[in-house]
Amino acid sequence: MSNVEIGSKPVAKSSSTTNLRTAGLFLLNYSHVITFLVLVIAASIASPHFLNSTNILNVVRGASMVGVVAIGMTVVILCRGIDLSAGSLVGVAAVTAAALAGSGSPIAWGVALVVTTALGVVNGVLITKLKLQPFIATLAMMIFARGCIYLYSDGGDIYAQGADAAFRWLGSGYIWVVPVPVVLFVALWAALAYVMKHTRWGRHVYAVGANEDAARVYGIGVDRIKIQVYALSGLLAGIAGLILVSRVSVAEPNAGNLFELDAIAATLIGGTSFDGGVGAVTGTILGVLILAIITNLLNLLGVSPFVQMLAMGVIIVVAVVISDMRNRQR
Amino acid sequence: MTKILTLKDALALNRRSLLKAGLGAAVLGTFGAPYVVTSARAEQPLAGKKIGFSQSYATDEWLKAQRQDLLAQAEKHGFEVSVTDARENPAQEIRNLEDLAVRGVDTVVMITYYAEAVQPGVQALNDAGIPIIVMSSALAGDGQFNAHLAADTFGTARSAGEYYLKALNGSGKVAQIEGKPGSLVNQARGKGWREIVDANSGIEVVAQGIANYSRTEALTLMQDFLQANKEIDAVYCHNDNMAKGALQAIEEAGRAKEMWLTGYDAITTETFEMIAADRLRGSFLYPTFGAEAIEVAAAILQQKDVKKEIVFASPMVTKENLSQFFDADKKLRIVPPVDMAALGL
Repeated sequence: MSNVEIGSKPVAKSSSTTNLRTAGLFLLNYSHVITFLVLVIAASIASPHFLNSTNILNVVRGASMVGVVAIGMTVVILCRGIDLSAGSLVGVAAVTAAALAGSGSPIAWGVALVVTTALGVVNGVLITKLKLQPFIATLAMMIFARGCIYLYSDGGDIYAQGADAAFRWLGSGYIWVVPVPVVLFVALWAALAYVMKHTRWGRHVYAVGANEDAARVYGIGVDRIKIQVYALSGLLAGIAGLILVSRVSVAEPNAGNLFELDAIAATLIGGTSFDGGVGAVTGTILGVLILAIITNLLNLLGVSPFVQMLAMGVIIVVAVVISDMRNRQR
Repeated sequence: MTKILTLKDALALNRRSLLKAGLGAAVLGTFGAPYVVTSARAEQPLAGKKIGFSQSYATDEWLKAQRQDLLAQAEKHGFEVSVTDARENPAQEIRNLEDLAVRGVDTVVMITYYAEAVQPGVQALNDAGIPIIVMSSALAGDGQFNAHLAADTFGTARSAGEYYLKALNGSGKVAQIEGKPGSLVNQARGKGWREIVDANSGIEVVAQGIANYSRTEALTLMQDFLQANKEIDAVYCHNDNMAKGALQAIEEAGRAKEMWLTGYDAITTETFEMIAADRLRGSFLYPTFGAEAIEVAAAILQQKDVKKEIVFASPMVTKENLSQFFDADKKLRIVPPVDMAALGL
């Protein structure tokens, strides 16, 4: 929950605040935490089935795939970019791993992750060397990668034939009582939160996102950072794809479709600004969980899925308005 | 093709004529000589005729089987088939249909989830005088077509309802997992079944949700259903894919003994094997219409009379009759031969 300190733009850091403003800022800064807590309490009251270990683990496991994509998306957005191809790359990893499942998990996983990371690098190169806008470069990649999947699969399901135990374990196994995808999700979040806050690389990402020209003046390799950020997003999308294909033992050609939009929504709800340089991976986790809990709760209550979409639309608008207010306060 | 063109049609044709390959035919039509065009067609052999095939969401297993059946049958006649896919986007589907009109194919075979939305594309084909064969969901509005191949979806859904009444002995708690909300077939699968089930007070639908024909979405949805309901006796899924996702959730929760499921489509090896292994109670077969559509296209191109509405039966595939539909040794779906009598040919 440390998006305040680390997320501040360098230029705004010196402003002094009164106690009242500090209190107001606190509410604004932790609006996603407050939303999350309110939602959990409301859900526990509304449905007797909500606060139950099976349900909670189901919700987090279900959210873990979008969650892994979302933490990568957060780093990209912090760097003032966007990765619309993430959902397609989830699909690429799922299909690649399913097709290679017979060769054993290390090969299936390795190849899938190398492919998605490489496609992430291509995104980065298109953006830095060909000077394409991130939206355009990754939109093109989104279409291209999905096309590759359709072409390879001929529009059909790819079964993970001959998959070994490890292959299934990744998505369906447990470590003690905790589902493996949940462990993986939490581990990746912790690692990335550490990297973003405590390493030079993490600070460089914030610097590039906050002010690219200034970062360049300070001698930061802006292009290199950007390419690495998109590669990271590709890698994480790949991991999400591996979890997905392991979970259902089959790669549907539309696997991961629209994951990028859920990931972007979660990032925004989690308080990361589209303007770059402000936000944190931890906020995004809350964004992911907020979206997942809304769906879960409304399902438990038997509310129409259309209403669920209305709720999400409203929440995104509210989150972005709050995020804007926060940034203007600084 | 024997429709006399009206002034409006003629104007529409002229508007498009710069783009249109079939300009000569259009001009003849405009000057009141449609029969010239017609007879010219009758004398030509079928080989080399161009069929435009418009699908959307071609990544669905049932649509993939439909495409395979259609292409295989088309090859027998030597048709050239142009396949288009709208990727679930009605606006793209309109463009695809317009492109087929501009290219002047001889017949269009189409299927749509968005009957209302794609009307402009259908209009473009009507304006160009290209015969249309519609599969599955009917066209909406005043779109003209030459033949509509459909399964009796509503009737099948009602018989599914009857099956649930019988199998549950008139009382029980059931869950329902629906497909894409915009699809007429999806709606009929819900309405027909609910009509029967709701009329019987002993059967209660305790959970209902949408999983968009996706296995992954059905898995999550069913987890929530299981969480919220201590007692579920059966799960009615609007396709097999969702039944598989739901079954995974049920098996993971260790509740497979408590309930049974049915799906729709009966198209993939996986489905048949699940029926054989008693994991899936049954699946209501949905004919692909692929091969049949080509036979109807051939008849239309030869100026034969074709029934406008052709309705197919939708049997329930169960463990008992599985061998009629699935070759367990070769692990292959048995593609039923085209029943020319049923097509009225």
